[in-house]
Amino acid sequence: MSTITITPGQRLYSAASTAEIIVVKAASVELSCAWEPMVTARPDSTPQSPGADSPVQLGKRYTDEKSGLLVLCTKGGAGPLTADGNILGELQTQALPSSD
Amino acid sequence: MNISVLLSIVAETTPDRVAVRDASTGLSYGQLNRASSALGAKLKAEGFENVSMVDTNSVVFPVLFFAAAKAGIPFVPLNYRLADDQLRRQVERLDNTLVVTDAVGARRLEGLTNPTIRHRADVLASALEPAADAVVDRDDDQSGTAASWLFTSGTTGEPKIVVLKHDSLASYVLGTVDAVSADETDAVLVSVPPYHIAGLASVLTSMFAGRRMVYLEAFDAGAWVDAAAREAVTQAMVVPTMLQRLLSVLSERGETLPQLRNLSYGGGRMPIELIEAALAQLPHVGFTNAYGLTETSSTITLLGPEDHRAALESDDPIVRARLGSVGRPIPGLELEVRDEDGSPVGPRVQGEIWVRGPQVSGEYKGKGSQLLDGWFCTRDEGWLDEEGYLFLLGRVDDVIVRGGENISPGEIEDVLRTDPGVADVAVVAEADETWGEVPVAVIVVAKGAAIDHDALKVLVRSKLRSSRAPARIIEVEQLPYNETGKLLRHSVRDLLREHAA
Repeated sequence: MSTITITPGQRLYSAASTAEIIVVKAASVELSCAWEPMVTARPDSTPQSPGADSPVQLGKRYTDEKSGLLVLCTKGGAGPLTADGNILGELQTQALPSSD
Repeated sequence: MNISVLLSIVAETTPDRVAVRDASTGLSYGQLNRASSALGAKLKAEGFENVSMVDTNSVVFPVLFFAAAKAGIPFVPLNYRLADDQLRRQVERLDNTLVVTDAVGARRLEGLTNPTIRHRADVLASALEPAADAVVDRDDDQSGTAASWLFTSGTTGEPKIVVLKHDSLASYVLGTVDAVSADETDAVLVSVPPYHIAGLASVLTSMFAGRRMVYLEAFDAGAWVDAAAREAVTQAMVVPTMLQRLLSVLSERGETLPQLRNLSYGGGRMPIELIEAALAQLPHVGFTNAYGLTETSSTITLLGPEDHRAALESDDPIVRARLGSVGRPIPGLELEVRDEDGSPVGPRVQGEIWVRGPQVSGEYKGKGSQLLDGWFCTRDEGWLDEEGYLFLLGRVDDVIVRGGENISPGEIEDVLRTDPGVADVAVVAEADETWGEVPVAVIVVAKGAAIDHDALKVLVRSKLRSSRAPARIIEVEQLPYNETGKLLRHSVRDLLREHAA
């Protein structure tokens, strides 16, 4: 598999589902979604692959503790997101009573 | 990460939902995103280094904020209430700025050479109907760059410019708000001024929740109640002085605003009697007290609706007292109360409040970062109870040093306020030959009441200690507050000089 260079602010697309992400903190890893390497341009067609039981959710942040990689999901789709084969953990939002 | 990415997420998910509405214009999330992209491309092409605004609240405010983000330059909302010379001085500190304002603002800035001045109506029109087809969003990493510069109120000298980076703001939003979590019917009424951190934070959190934002040009209690009823507003943020006026308008009109679910307050000391009255008058509303600073990207501690209810219903004086606290630190934020040597202190010991976390900026333009190992000193004084509820005492700069002993005005004010004859009070330092400084109480007497100066001194002496008793008491018609409810202590000291002993 080919490895792409990941930079902060970069948008990446799942080759196997509708999921899209933006890189918040970069790391030198191979980033995959639904077990297919992610790509730098939106694919023409996105077949729904198996793995819908681990969806990547819109507006959620995912992190790889080992490498420090942090990404934000900008469009939901089937996952999981993996860095060098390790499944990324979801950073929990603690929704607060609105104060602003 | 660029905060405009957050807008693009919401715009892609719910393009047709109303994002923002003022008295004359409404924009959907799709329109807000497109308009800010078009304007952002233009700002970038023209090479402006920042975008400033001298204006009241309107839909132009979020358009400019996100357009600046997309152009990769800071947005600088200025205080239009400043005197002309102060306003001009602030604009002069902004190199190669585009000032967006109205005809009145343009006249006030006449003769300045560094800004390019454009009228808000023209800027909005060009953003909504761009001449050329724009534009890709700028996805470059903006983590280290400023999304906004905010001038401090400058109560202790020349105003400083707080640098708010994309990363600090984004981490505040992403850590506390779920994307597009608002209901279709949710609406927030915004009446805090645009140049205040609460105004800026409100745009970001409401936008990411996908909530409809209703802008009031400026606060007026009657107009606020009208808008809240007309727009079926579900939540709002107010400062204590606003709340007081709102409650009286509501009771005059017999209005209860049944749609309203959440009211948050902050920006000044909230008298316990007032919040108790509010809870009683609006039992269907959840109240949230928020404490934060510009330097911390808004809220750092919260006293939520559950905390309010628990305090109100409790017989335990410790729990009950929390109605007067600002609650506990929000997740992801560390908070410590430290003594003068910088060591953390235990519960119920007062000291300076320090905070650390990704939302903390702690940076001033031209002065660099003020952080020590990530920690920011708020210059606020306070103490924590056994369960970590924070009680604010005031600014460290307002501490009265009497014979080497540090006295917080807040604790004396709290005691004096328990007297029914005291409607409002400020305690400030006055120079004294013997003690260096002594506390003096400036009191607004309640309507139809009278106060006994000696009895009040005895009251403070009995509740605190003799050094806390005001050396003298002055009666005034009213105390000076700024428009966000912050007591202007330097103006109170001016009052003292007028009432020389």
